[in-house]
Amino acid sequence: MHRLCFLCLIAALTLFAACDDPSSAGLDLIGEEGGVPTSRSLAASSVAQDTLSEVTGGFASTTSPSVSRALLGRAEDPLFGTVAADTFIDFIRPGSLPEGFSDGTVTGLTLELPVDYVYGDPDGISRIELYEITRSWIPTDATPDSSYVNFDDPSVSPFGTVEVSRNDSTISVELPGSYVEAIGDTLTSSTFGSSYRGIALRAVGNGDGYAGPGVVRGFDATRIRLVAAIADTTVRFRASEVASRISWSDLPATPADRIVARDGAEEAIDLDFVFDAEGIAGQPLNNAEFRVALDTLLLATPAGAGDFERPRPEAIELLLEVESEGNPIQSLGALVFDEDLGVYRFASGLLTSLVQDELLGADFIKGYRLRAVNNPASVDVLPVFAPTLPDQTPRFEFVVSGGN
Amino acid sequence: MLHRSVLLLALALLAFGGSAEALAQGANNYGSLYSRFGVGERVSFSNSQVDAMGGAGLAVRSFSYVPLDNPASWGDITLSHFTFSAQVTGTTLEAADGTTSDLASGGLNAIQLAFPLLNRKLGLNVAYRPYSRVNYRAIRTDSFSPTDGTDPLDYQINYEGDGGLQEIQAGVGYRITTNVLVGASINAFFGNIDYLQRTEFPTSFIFEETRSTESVRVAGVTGTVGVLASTPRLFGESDALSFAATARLPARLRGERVETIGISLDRDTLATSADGSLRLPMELAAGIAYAPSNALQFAVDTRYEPWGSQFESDFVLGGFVPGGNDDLQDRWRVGGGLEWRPAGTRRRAPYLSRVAYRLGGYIDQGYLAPTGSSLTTYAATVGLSLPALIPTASFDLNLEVGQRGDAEGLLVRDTFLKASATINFGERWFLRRRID
Repeated sequence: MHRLCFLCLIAALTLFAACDDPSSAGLDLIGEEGGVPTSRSLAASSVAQDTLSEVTGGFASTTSPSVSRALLGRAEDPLFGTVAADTFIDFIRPGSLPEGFSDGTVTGLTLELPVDYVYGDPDGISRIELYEITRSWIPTDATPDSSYVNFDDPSVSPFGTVEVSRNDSTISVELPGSYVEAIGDTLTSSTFGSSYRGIALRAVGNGDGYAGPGVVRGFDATRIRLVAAIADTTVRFRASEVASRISWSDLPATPADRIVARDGAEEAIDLDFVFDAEGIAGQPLNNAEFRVALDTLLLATPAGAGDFERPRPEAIELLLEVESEGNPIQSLGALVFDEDLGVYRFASGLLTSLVQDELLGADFIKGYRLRAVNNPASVDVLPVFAPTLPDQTPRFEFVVSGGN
Repeated sequence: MLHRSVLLLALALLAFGGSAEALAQGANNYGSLYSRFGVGERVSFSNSQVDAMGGAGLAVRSFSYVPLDNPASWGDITLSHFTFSAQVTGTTLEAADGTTSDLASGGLNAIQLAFPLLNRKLGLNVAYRPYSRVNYRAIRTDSFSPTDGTDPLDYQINYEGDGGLQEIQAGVGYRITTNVLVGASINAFFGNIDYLQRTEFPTSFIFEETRSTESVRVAGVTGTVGVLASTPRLFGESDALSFAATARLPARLRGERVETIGISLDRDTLATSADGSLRLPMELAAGIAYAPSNALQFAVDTRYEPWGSQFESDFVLGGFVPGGNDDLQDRWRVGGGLEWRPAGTRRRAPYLSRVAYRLGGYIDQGYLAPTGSSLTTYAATVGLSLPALIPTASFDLNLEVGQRGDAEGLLVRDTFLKASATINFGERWFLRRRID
């Protein structure tokens, strides 16, 4: 009898638990109408240029932090200034080597630089000096002004000079024979990893006969190769560590109602928002989306008679400045370009949660920052609209759902 | 055999109690929409015997049960009692437009500990039970078109109520003479009533669910007195007629109203309103019970709570705005039922003869009057009390089926089925042995 009752009880519980199906029935009875989603927009109350350290180096392999681009060249941009970039590359031997490699003689070296980025005149010709890096270096702490060759030391001289011009996909630089002869044994030595430090490529100006504004090219670091010819075969050394030294100079005045952040100049855009605005403060927040419109017309402005490309940034990093002694600047994520809306967008649960706290009066967030993403490295420029253009300045798009 | 029986009872109770609590704490713990009004749906549980007899039992005198509603009956306590009771309720809600909702909820009926201070003279009872329950949910679904150029999104707003008032009572009953008993108890009320709006976007991974809650937290104390009188051998040698009455004073509960808001379960307090109070009305009850023999008894109770005139609140509650209109009226309830235990007090009778079979029904005009319409509940109850091999223990199963309101205008019709299980243990504790 008890067992029968017990089984009946479990069956009844299962039945009850399975029959939950709330619907709109009775909505009029309870008379509640709140909670309906509503769009709200909050434009930045202030937009200013600020400084923010950036990293321009890393590992070209799968090791983190990775860097997927090396920059090289020099371009004179009448709108945003003159930018120059030098590259430092170390290499790693392939996992499998041909038989007799260690006893072979290197007869030629070619540097393969696959182009994946152009800032400036795509037909520009760059004069590049080649240096041997002679000291150990770590790319992860590379900043835009880091250099692993003391170019100012009179005793340091390039082992070659080349001119780099337009190529459909990959620029090949044949390294001088003297260099090949000097490091040939090192390349084949079993101590290659500890005795070879890499190559520095320094942009020193335009090539002969070229009078244009110049160009900074970016190379896909994961596909950069140092190709060694040994006997009748070749061995391809992959780039392992890559860093770029970037400098901006001769900065012109910023166009009116625009705030500019140049990648490689450790510049960022500092933003403030007034979260206690009417209709926003204290609201339950379903979604906070951050949007940034860049002045694409300004980016497309010609720099002279010929072509001059200013790439639209692949992504814009959104950072948060908080009340913290340890790490006050924290990355929230990257805004990506929406072709349909013509703006950069970013949304995440963390962002919504943080902004919800702001709407409820939290004050641990000191501000928001924007900059070009660290990786891939670039010399992109972010021309952001000032709050004097409230429809175009950086903003939050909220969906709030009201209260009771 | 004894151990197996007890083990089975314990397992059943654990399963039932666990499931009921899981329902109570889970997302599926929803019941009548009428629980939105006032302090919620009134809950009336005195003990499993009374529950199965249509809620009538104020004047019932029992060796095995200790009713919670009448302190006077605690003067009859002979054994130390422990009672645990839980229930699950399935509710089908039907609106005037034909839409329906199927809902399930569960929770505790009561936990009770009672023991004699002086055998069959002075008894002490301590118990916990819900006083009211708020557990409604209705949903609104629609589509939202953001003004920022992105695609429309489906959303769902959940209007939910949660919580209710709880009661802890402690008191004594005293038997003045064999047939006249009096009792008194202190009743402490406390609880939260949460009104929650959840807006969610089922088709979006990015959009967060938001929650806005207005919560009323209150606590207060009042007292109850009761009297019970019996006239044995009225029409025969073994019959008895009993009368009982109780009065609980109005209760002033003080507290605060808190607004919280935020994402998902992570809610932040927005503001705490000014402190306030609410007053629960007094409760008057009277009952009559007649037992023609020790195998059969009948009982009828009536209960009255003047909500319309005595309820006060500084807080906005469902259907109640301080100083404004309210949807409350006086509550009255009439219930009656019978219990038949074929074997009477014969412990060696066949098992099915020792089972108590109960039947009852009640009419409850609730204290809620949404849109000015009275809200009446009609219900029928049945129950079984299964004796354990321990003579003073039983496992009680009750079923209640009923209907509340009507699907007219804004009102809805609730059709509900409630199943409850109660375990009653009685044992002689704390008594001095007279024979060594």
